[in-house]
Parts: sequence; structure tokens; C-alpha cells
Amino acid sequence: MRLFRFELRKLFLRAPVFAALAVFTVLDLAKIRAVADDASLLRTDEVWARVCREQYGNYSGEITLDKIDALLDLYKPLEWITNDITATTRSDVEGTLTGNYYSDRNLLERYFVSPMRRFYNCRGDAETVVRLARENEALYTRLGCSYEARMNAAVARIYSGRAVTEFRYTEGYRLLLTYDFSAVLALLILLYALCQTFARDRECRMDELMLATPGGGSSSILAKLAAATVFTLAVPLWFSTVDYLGFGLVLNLSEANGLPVYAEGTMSAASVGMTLLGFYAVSALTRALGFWALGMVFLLISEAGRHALLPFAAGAGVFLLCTAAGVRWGYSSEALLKAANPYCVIINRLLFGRTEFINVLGVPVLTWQAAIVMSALLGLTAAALALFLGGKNNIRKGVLA
Amino acid sequence: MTLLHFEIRKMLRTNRGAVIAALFLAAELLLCALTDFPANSDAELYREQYLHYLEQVDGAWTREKADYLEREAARGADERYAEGLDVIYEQYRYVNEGRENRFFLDANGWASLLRDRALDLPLAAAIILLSVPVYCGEAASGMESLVLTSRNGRRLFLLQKTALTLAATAALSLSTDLIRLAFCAAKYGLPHSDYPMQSVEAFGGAEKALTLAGAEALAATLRLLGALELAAVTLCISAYCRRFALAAFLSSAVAVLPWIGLGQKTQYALPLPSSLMMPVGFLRGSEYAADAASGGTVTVFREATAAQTAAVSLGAALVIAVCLLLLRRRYGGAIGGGRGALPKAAALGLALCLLLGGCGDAEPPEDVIYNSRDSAAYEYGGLTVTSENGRPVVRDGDGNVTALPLDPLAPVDGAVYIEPFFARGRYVYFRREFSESVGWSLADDSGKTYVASLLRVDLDTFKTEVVFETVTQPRSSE
Repeated sequence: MRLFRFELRKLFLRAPVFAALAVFTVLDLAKIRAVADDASLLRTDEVWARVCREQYGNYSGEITLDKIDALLDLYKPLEWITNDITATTRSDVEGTLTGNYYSDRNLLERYFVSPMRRFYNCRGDAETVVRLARENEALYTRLGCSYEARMNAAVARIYSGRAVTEFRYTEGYRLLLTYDFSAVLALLILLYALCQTFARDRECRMDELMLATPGGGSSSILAKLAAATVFTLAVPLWFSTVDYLGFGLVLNLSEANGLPVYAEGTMSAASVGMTLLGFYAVSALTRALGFWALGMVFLLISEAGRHALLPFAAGAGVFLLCTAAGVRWGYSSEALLKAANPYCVIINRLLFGRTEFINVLGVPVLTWQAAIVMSALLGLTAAALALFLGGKNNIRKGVLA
Repeated sequence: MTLLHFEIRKMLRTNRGAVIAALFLAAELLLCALTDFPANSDAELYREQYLHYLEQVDGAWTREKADYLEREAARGADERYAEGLDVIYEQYRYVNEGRENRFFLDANGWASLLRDRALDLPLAAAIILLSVPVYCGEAASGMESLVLTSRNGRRLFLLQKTALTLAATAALSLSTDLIRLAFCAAKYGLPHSDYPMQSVEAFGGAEKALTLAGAEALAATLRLLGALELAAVTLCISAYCRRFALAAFLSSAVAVLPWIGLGQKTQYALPLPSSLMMPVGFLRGSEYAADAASGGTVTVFREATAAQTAAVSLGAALVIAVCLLLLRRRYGGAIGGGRGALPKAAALGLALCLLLGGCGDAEPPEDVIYNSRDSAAYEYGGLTVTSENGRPVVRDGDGNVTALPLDPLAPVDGAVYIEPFFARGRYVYFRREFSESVGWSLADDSGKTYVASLLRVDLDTFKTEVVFETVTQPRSSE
């Protein structure tokens, strides 16, 4: 325990690391602001923001047919006169919300009609999915394809009972769930801190000295691994928290906290059914796990380098390889290549956001489940290798403690 | 051996500069080979037919050429040149929009050469790996303090080290250009370098009056400036930080973060190494998109004017000058020998697989027996496949009806199945398309990703598998 605290202080609780964290946090917040300004018209257009606030009161909360009818009564005539472009383009028209027909149409479409349609259709779509999956299950059972039958049974189980009953503002969550910049920031900090774990000792010849002490050798490596684990989990979680608070500050997140995750458009085929807030927490933890697995690989590389430059470059190279593979296969149907890639565990919306299975000995396993297991295995293997390959001292352990 | 020889040997051997450079060149070549694709694939596919027409109209727009093409299009080409006529007519329509500076030209080579690429990561990595050990190596080995007391450990060493690093950087940057030039010339040919750059479709909206050769020369110059700026900043950082890890971390942040973090609009207004190393952005014309709030258009990208480009270049030169002055201040002109660091350049090889292009090599069926557009039904082993509402439907002798594909998730995941579908032997083939409105990239997540798949259903078991797939990423996500 003492060794662990000492390594933690020596490697990670240092001024440059904290300075980098502070600067990157500020950069992250600035980027969040820029992303929100870029994507949300409520941030840049005062009229839109005011009108949306006013209208939101009419439609938020439980979805009822009355609300839908009221919304369509407002929207249909606008759609009618703007579709054939006969409406005036003047921007001071009486009786409109924003002063302009086209602007009204776009606003209603973007912030009310299309989310309302999505929420409302959710139940019917899910019921269709369940029905199709049950039919397929019966067909495959008849044809004797047991894996396909099980897979369809799993789909039916996942999708049964899905429905969105409330209308909420979800734009903030859409931006939050697709925001990746902080992952790069976390990666750079981890690379910087981890690449010197072993190289620092080597640079000042501490490694030879340590081999001659009871606390050296594998027990000091173990302490390093434990300290690195704490650090690699803490940094991504810190950035995930900053992201949540940052987006919460510039856009309203709390409204949609309780909606199910599949209410968000990009997650409509999600294989999980928790609330958006709960999903964000799970996603952040999974991201931290992905970083931990990569971090252990960085550590293993760091053991081989005389100076910190090689581990840094090699670590960046490993991440780039994972990124290239993620870009190549992230969208494809190669579920295994997706799940085995730490990059996809870090940027994990395509694992959670799709209902895809991997065939493990005839049992359908969801990609995100397989990915979590594989990441954990990768991290543990790298850590075990680092421990095994690291310097051994032949002084009996436990003397000092 | 003179001191300069020692310095060169240290850079190339002790610091593994030669290995880094070799890996860098290999990475650049591989990147070219793996990621290059023809801008106009039809012109490449029907090259002979296309060239047949191009020969007649090559060069600037004239009334005769326009009449000739209109006549040919109205007449309908003979069988042999039909595809070529389509290609040249497309080009004619493009040229017609800006007759004074859009020329008829086989533009694929130039389009590839001047393509808007992502940040050249192998180049950035090579520069950082070469520059970081120059001063960090001296500090790490403790040679720094020793050299300060020696006779030649003054200005001469600072000068030699810095000049050598900058020269190596310049060589790397210029070799990138040479590799790309050679690659595009060999693959497509680079004809008529004196035509205006607007002849290439990507620059159709640009205001600048540059020839194709001039555009490439400007791009190369800007890239060189950006590379030198990155090297100078890295040298300066490493001289002040003295630690490998911190120097590598900070210079990577300088190289990469502005590229990922800043939008297109701001990037090209600032003298950043990353924006200068992606010089095509300084050549492109303005781009517009529809504005949801007003129904009008908004500027997505504003063309960098000549003055802006000059100001950015000047800014970069200023940054280089400040870095050099800071270096001088740091050492007072004193730095010398020492063993230096050992950057295991093998690491750079990992960056080489940065972009894996291409796609699977599964073959689509050769001789399709059934095409849902041409024939009404397909029979296989007692099963009848027909097309109903654009979907294949299978009926067996017992009256069981199964609509294909057996994809329960179609209502929620936005998959679109496209007619016609095909059948051959016991397989039915479909096309499926996905489009994801949110980019998969770490950079600007705008635009859409398209996934097109060819699926195959086995009529014996109704198992579905993907036999071929392509993923198209939005431009910014490379």
C-alpha cells in the first residue's frame, strides 16, 4: 500500500500532469461551447430560443393525442404553403411564431414534429420488431437453425415493451452522446503520464537500484500497475463528468435524463433500454475500461523503452491503428472486429447503439457485452505480461512490510 | 571529422533519423497507394472512350466545342464510345458554368494531387520524432552542462543542431510532395499544368487565379512552412522541457489538437502548423449550406484570400523566428555533444497503417439467373421467389409465405433495401444501405456515413450473410 501511494505520487500526482489536466479541461469546455453553437440553433438564434421555450411548455410531458393534434394543426398549414414555395419570404409576417413562414416550418419540424413523430412511433416500431423476430424464430426453429432462432428470440426479448411516453428536449443528449473530442484529450494525457512509468526509473538508473531492494522487482511493478489503473480510470471519468456538466451548462440536459436511451434518434436501434442518464454513466464507465485496457498496453510498451519517446510514439501508433481499424470496421457488419477494438470500446455508441450479436459457440452475445469482456482480457493480459517481463529481484518479498 | 559530421551522424544514427526517414517514406507511399481513389471514377473506367472525345475538345471553352458536344449528345454516340460521351458531357456541363477559367482536361491526376486530405500524420510524427531528441537527448544524458564549458559548446552547436533539424524537416516535407507528384503522374498523368486550377472540380468555386502548377507550388510551399514551424516549435519545447515525455506530449498536442478541435472556418485564419500542413484548404473556394433558421444560405467555409494566406504565412514565419530566438536565449549559444536519446523509430511504423482503405474482395455473382426487374418469379427446390412491394417474397408448396430479408431490426435501424434483387442457385442477393447522420470520426462530426452491403440469403436455411460491404465516410473524417 505504501509503495502504491508512493508510485501514484511519483508518476501521476505531479504538477505537469495537473497543469495538463487543467488546460485540457478548459479546452474541452471551449470545444463543447463551439459544438453547441455550431449544432444548436437555440444557442445562436434568439428568436428561435424564445419561440422554442414558449412552445415547449405546450408539448412537453406526457404524449397525448391532443398535443399531437395541436402540433399538427400548427404545422400542416405551414408545410402546405412552404412546400410549393408560394409563401412570402418576408420576415415580419403577422401571426407567425418567428416572423417568417419558412423559419416557422423549420423550427417546428426540427424541435417538435420530428422528435414527436420519433417518440410516438417508437412503440409501434418496437412491436413490429418483436413480431418479426418471433416469426423469424418460428421459421428458423422449423428449419433447424438454432443460432438464428436464439438470436431472434434475443431481439424479441430486448425490444418487447419499448415505448416513449413523454415528450422531452433531447438535442443536448444527441450532441453529448456523439461528442468525442474529450477522448483525444484524455488519450494525450494518458500517453504522457503512462509512457514514463518505467522510462523515468530507467533514465535516472533507478531501475538497477530498485532490483536490489525488497520493495523493488515485481512488487514495485505491481504498485506501478495499480497506480496506473487508478489514473487511467480517473482521467476518462473526469472528462466524461466535465462533458456532462459542460453540455448541461450550454444546453438543457436535465429535461431528458429520464427518457429511455432509444428515444434519441442516433440510438433508435440500441441494444440497451436504460434511461439516457443511466446510459451516459454506463458509456462513460465502458470508455474508462477501454482506456484502461489501452493504458496497460502502453505500460507494457513503456517497459521496453530506454526513454519516454519510444513509448509515447508507439502508444500513439497503437491508438492510431485502433482508430484506423475502428473507422474501417466500426460501421460494417463485422461485429467481431468491432468488439475486439479498444477504440470502439472508447467511442462506444456503435456497440450500444446497434443490436448486433457475436456467435459464441452457438450462443448469441451482444457486441457490447463481448467488447467489455475482450477489453478486460486485453488489459489483464498486458498487465500480466508487464509483471512477468519486468525485472525480478531475488530478495524474499514481505520483509519490508 | 568536423563537428558538423558528428552532428549529422548523431541525428541519423544515434537518434535513428535514418530509420525514421525510411519508415516515413514507406508510410507516405503506402498512404498514397491505399487511400488514393480517382475523383472521377467513370473517366478512369472508360478511359479510352473518354479520351477519344477529350482529344477533340481539350483546352478552353469555345463555341465550336460546345456545338460539337451538343451535337454528339443529341445524335447519341455510337456503341463503342457511349460511356465516354456521358463522362465528357458531364465535364462539359461543369465547364459551361464558368467558361473563362474552367478548361477541358483529364483532371483525375490533379484532383488526386490536390485533394483535401487529413493532417499528414506520418509527416508530423517524423518531425516530432526527429526534433524531440535533439535537445532532450543532451539534457537526459547530462551532457548539456558539460558542453556548456567547452570551447565549441557555444553558438556553433546551437546553430548546427537547429539548422540540421530544419534542413531534415524541409527534406521530409519536400519528399512528401515529390512522392505524391510521382504517384499521381504515374497513376493518372498530370497533363497541362498551365491550365487554370478551376478546371479541377474541387476548386470550381475558387476566386484565385492560379494555374494547376502554381496551385501545387503554393501548396508545397505552405506545407514546407508548416513543417518548419512544427519543427521549430518542437525544438523550442524540447529545449525548455528537457524531458522526452513532456516534449513529445506538448508537441503532439500542438500538432494534433487544433486540427481536431478547431472548425474549418477558424483553422485557416490562424498560423498553425496543422493548417499549413493541410495547404489545400488555402486553395479551396467558399462553400455554402442551407440555413434552417432563415431558409437562406450560410457560409460553411470561406475562401482564404491571397492577403489572408500571406498573413498566415507571415505569422508562421514569425512563430519560427520567435522559437529560434527563444532557443538562443535558452542556451546562450551553448550546447554540444553527448550520446543523445534513442528514439526507437520502429514506433513510427505503427503510424503507417493510419488509413486502411479498400474493401473486401468477395466477388458478386457472375452470371445472375434471376433479376427481379426482368422476370416475374424465381423457382428453387419447390420455393417460388417473387417481388412484392419491392421486397422478395418466398412461397413454398405448403402455402407458407416468408418476406425476405429476415431482418427484425429494419423498422428501427434505418436500413433500406434496394431493388432489384438477384438470385442464383440457392441464394438470393440483395442490396442494403445504411446512412448514419453522425460521423464516426474524431474530427468534425458532420456529414453522413454510408454503408452499402450486398447480402445473401440461403434459401435452404434462410440464413443471411454479408458478402460485400463498402463504407463511405464523410470527407472530414479521414
